[in-house]
Amino acid sequence: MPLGSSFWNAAGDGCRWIHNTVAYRIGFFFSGESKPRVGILGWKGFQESYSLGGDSNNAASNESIYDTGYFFAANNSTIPTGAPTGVAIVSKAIQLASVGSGGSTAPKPQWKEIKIGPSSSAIVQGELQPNNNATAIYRAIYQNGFLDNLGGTATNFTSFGGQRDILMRFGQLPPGLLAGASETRAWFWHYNPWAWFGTVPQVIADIVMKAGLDVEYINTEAFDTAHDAYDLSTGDIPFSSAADATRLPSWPGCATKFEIGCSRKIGEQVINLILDCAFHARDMYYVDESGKFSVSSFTRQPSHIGLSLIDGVINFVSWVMTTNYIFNTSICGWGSGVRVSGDPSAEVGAGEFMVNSEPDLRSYTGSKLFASYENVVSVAKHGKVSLLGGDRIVTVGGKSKNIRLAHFPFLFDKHANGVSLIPHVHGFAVSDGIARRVITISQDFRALDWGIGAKLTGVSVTDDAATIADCRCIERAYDFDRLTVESVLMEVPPNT
Amino acid sequence: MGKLTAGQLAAFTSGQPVRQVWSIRAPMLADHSAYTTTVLDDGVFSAVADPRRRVLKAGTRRHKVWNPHPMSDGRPEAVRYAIEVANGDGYFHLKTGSPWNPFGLYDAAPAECFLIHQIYVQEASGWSEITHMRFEGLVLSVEYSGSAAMTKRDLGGVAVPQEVSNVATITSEQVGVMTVLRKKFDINDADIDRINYDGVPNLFGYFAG
Repeated sequence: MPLGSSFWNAAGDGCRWIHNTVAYRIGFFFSGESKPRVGILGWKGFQESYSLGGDSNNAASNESIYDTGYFFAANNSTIPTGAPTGVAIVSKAIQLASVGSGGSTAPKPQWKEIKIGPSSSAIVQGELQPNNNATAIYRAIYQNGFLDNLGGTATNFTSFGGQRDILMRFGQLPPGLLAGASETRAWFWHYNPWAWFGTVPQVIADIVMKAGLDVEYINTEAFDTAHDAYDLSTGDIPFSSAADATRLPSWPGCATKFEIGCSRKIGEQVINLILDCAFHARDMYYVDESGKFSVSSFTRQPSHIGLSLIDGVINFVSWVMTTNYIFNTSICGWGSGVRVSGDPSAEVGAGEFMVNSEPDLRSYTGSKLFASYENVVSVAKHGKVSLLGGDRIVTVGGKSKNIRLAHFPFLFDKHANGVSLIPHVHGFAVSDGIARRVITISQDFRALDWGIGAKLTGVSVTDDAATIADCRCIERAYDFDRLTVESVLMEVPPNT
Repeated sequence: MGKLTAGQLAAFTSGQPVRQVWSIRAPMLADHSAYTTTVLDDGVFSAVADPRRRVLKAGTRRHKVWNPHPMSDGRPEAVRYAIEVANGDGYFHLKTGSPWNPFGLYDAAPAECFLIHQIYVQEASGWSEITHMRFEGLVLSVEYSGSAAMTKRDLGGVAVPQEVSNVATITSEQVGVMTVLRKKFDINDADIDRINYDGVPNLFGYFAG
């Protein structure tokens, strides 16, 4: 199904997770404790809490990068003045959480402690920005690397329903909530960072619209096409194989499409978030000749069939067989959450990794959210070439080494088969390990029949007598004095 | 499938004339509530194509895919387009009667104006616009260069020598998308929601010891 008019008319709220919840409800309140707890029903996040092994020596990151949010309480039924500017950003690690279930015994630590206190004071180790409100606002800060499911359990919360109900333990509460106080009521508020959930092109379109781009500047037809490709039942699903169904995250809403969930970082440029999202798929993004933001779906229909030297080709055709686009090795992490340093007492298997240095909290360890892939045929021919990523220090077989980790922060697929997901995400297992042609061709204005991002089939302009089945136009230069068009075509080798 | 009509493709194939039109779209009022478009050069010899204001250099435009491949580390760049126009009579200087203020209502800065470029090909039925190539870019700068002596007649009919720059280079940028992409996310762009949604605050947020 195309994104449709309702999506485009929503101006950036089409797949944004407004409120990030089914419905907030204050359901619980323990007044007799020194640290009162409040249950909130209906919390929903993008990622389920990671369930580490019992012997894992996990540690919280001290460098959370994504803006997650916070709860706060106030004896005020309207949005407290200045609250939006008083967002607490915790850049230092605070204690691990004692939240996640309604029982008296805290579950396995998987969440930072939620504390609450006057906004004017420093809270724990967090670095708070001042709240402009003159009235104290009491905040319960939660933050990890990403939006998450706070992980209440049905067992502990049967009276309140689902597994995503949470219980927050507050360090203290506003006077109005304390027994015997004159105030009799309080209101709870939630700061929701912007976050999105959907197919990659869907999320990207929504981000730019939310950031202020009018739909008039978007090639909606191209985005509809790209979005449809990720529909499991009707789409082309880039890089699909018979195993696709098993690769899907078992997450509500992900049953029919290949989707991501993303949140933005404060201070991050919109374009960087878009490029991060785009890395999760293989579609190409660009601004087209008319100034519209557009996408070229990897599985799109050809824009032009048949290109030969009689099609207005003038001056020259030059081409190179390049290895610049080869990668045949990839080590991937996805999701975001706690850093895992591994269990010092456990021996790491030959095929396992322990992340010793994880600077931006983007990876995981073991065989869960950390997987590798290698095209052995290509490695034998070209040597190991890793997919672009960041450097990490890991322990493999008891030895420390550097690796290049490609990170997919917006996947949340701990249930999927990580190894098989890699080619799904990265592309064709075979074709990415093969040298490919890059052709530069100059034509007259007959070349205006197609444009930047176009897919061309049957390209026969090189002097090696090849007819290339799939080329993508990745660069174009229009010369309006000479009335010529110079195009750079990148071959997509067959995946066989 | 293609972007050209059959007629346009045939016209290009048979070498029919190509016509290019350049215009400046400028605000008529300070609040930008109304714009006017002044044709600089319509590509055919007509009254609005004063030879002294012809486009001397039609320029180039370069478009790139941002992320052609996971192994490329590309960065989006705004598409820029620059033309050189004849300015022998000082037409492109900032003044009343220029494209920046054609009616004397508002002295627009060039950075408030847009450069528009259109392409046509001649079919049997007439000029046919290649609509997907229509470019509109915000003017970044106007650079005056070169010099020429010209003679103007004053009101009394006396010849007055005058030095003017005879070339103006107008540079523009396709800013619509890039302006948004360059923005930064801010802590104020989030939502603040009251948890109690049902409008009965004391059922949930309420607590009396």
